[in-house]
Amino acid sequence: MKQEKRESDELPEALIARLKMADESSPIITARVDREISNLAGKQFSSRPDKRRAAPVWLAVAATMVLAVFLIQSFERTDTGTAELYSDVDGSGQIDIADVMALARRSGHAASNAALAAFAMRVVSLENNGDAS
Amino acid sequence: MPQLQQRSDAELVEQCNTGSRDVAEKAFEVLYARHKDYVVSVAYRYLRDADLVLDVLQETFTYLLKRFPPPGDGLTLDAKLQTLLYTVAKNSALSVLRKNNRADVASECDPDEFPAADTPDSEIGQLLSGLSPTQREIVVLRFIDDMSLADIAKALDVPLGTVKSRLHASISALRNSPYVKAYFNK
Repeated sequence: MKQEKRESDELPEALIARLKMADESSPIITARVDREISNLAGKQFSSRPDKRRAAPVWLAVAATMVLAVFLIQSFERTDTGTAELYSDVDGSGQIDIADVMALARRSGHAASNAALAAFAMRVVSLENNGDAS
Repeated sequence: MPQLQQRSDAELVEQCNTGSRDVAEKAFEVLYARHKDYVVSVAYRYLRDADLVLDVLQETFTYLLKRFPPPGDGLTLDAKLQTLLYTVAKNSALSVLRKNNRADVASECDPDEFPAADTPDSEIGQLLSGLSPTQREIVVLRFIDDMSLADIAKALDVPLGTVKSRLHASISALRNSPYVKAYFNK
């Protein structure tokens, strides 16, 4: 009985196929309509923040620090000599994350990964406190 | 945007709700491309004028757009997106019918009933003749649109048990229909 009830709730596959073919609609969606919908979407979401501006500053700094550490991996270094740390390495007039990057790129520098990371952290701290100079 | 195209409707809706401008736009475009043909097919069941069908298409997706913030409150899917699109497209088509003075058809169409626009002249009308408009709608949703019974219940805003009993009655009627009973005997 239960099997019969289940079967009676289905249509034969051939009939389903025929119904689907009969349902095929003929109107063509024109490019004009596609553009209008696209324009509407643009207007609807226009007040949303742009993806590039949406990232907070701290996230950008953190990403730079990760990149700096990654660059550092390719250099040989010893854990001696930190004279260039906490200095205006690139001569820009202020100590910022660019100095960390410049130091990382400079070949033959002697700072360790940990020292460079600490430099970067200090720069971030200075910037957050508005003390970078 | 291959990555967005692989996302589910629910994920794309969420991007439209909370994503940045660029992501939300692209997510919506994927949803539109994915479902526009279906909306057209629904509209075509009610309207035979291509321009009016495209009006329904635009109104349906405009409605969807306005659900997203701002100013919308955001869209939460409690059923498949197709279910929502069906309901909106159907109501939009009926509205277009009324606006275009097709009162004769629209008045026959209780919002809960499948319209007479699918006339006996059409192949579907002939195949499903003998069914009431309500039964015809359920058969179409179930076997042409491949909707689950639960989604049909949501689309038609009736209890699941009602959908089941109407479907059962529809198929019983089709078994005795001179146009299609041969399919059951194969």
